[in-house]
Amino acid sequence: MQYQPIHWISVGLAWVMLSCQPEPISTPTITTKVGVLSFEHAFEGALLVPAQLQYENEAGNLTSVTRLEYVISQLKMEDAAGQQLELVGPWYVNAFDQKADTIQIKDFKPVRMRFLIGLDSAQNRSNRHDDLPGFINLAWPEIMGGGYHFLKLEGRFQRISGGEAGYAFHLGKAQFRVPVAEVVPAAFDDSHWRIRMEVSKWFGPPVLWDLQQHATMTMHSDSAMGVLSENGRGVFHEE
Amino acid sequence: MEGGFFMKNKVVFWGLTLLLALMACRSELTPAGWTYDPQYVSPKQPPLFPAMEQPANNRMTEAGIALGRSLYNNPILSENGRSCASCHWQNRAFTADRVVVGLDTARFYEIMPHQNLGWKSLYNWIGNERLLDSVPHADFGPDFFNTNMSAMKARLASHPDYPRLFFRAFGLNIAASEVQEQLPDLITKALAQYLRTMVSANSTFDQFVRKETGLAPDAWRGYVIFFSEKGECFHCHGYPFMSDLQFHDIGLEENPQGRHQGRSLVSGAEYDRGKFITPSLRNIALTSPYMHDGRFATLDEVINHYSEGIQLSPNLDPLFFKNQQLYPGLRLTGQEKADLKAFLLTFTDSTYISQPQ
Repeated sequence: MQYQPIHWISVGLAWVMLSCQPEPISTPTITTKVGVLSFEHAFEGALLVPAQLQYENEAGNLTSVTRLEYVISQLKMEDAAGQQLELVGPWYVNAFDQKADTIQIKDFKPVRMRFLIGLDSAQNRSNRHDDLPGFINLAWPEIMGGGYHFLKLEGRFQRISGGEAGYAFHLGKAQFRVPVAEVVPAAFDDSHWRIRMEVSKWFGPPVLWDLQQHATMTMHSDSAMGVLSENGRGVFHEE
Repeated sequence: MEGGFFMKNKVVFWGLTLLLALMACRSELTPAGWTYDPQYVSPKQPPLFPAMEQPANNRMTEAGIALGRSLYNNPILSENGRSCASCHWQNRAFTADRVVVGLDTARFYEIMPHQNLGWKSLYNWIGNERLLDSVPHADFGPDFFNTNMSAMKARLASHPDYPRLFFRAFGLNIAASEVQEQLPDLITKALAQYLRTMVSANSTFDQFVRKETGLAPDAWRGYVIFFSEKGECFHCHGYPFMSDLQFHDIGLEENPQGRHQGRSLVSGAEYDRGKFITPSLRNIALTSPYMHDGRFATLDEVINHYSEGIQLSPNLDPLFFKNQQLYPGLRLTGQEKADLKAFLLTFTDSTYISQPQ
């Protein structure tokens, strides 16, 4: 078998086609170690289960929790050597959504941390965070001051008079942001940390909130939100 | 030596054969004169809307959208003369009364309008679909298009325009046997691209939010009810989607059974029983009847339900019975109901229902 021009043409054509393939680009692998901060939620020490009328708060009300969403911002962490790391955020946390019960933090080994539940006045501006997951449903109406909900804690409770009723602890407005200090995280491993909210503390102490007597909706009431803000300072302290 | 020479020639021969075979395949997949040059399109981004995410495997292109629009309006996908547009009328914000279009009310939920679907992450009343690109597959079934897949593929492959339109959209020749299997997916992808362009963002209320217009006094009073704890509407029907895209029990049934179990039919969770996805209030004046089962014919009936018709269902949203009320409901006066309705009417987007989509 002799080589004919067609052979050389076909070989040449194949070579051209192959040579037109883009060169594989070697991409250097950059591994940036990130940390994860998980949020756990408990009621009287037991991990929170949605929509179960089984939790007794400090005032003796039998309650359930059907929704627990909140905003974290201004996260300041300190490691054992006293080094500090500050992350502004904000982050949306949803106790009943596994996609929203962790936030990513930089690689850091915190031994204590502090943060806000909510937003300061510079960050609490309407529409500012609408592109962040979860925030669009936290909008606080313009006619009520604008900005975002910092907390939505909702559920039902057993009425003394019989039957059930609902409660909706909603917190907003920058002056009611909740400063939370001296939170000690638990370590799962070198890069995974966990802090736990004790949900019952929203009902007090320090201010006892009896759902049989007090308002069960809070958005319209600055005094009610003031109480929530005060009670909220202790919700991440495990005692 | 001869054996080596023979082997070399054999390599050349088989190499040439393979090359020709590849070229033959390519000629079937790429008909002469056809070009695939995707022109990518960014999603619409109305003011105060979050960014719309697109799936990486189905980014919008001009050709894909054009194909989707054509298929949406063409009965070629069905055996019964129906197209998507048969049940999704533009003058009703791309929905229709299921009774009017002949759907069995005992088996089907109300038809949801096609508007702003690109921002959703769960579809249908009970959230049984997660991907817009998959949603139209259900329409091939016997209750909607009753599609005979082989016949439909043959119709499209032999059509004077569609093979080229599909090629321009996806770079695939639907007449080629290996592409035929993918055809249903290509159809639903094209439809999804078109659906992602269907954006309603120019109602009177949108214009009010953008400070381009004001509200009439009654609509303003309704706005105050809507966006306060008096009406509690905003928690589930917030701007811009006028839906939180979440699931709620609004007290339609004291003991939800059958299809009224809603979300729990998907999740299996008892705490989801009676919950349905919050429908958008955009163009609400055009989208009657209301609720998943169309039980309310008018907006007045809907408002009356929220005011004094709510049933104490097992998973009733806590927002509906609050502050020591003996009975759930908003307890609105006649004037408040009228004002709330006046505000709801500002959600009609006349641009969306009149201009080509």
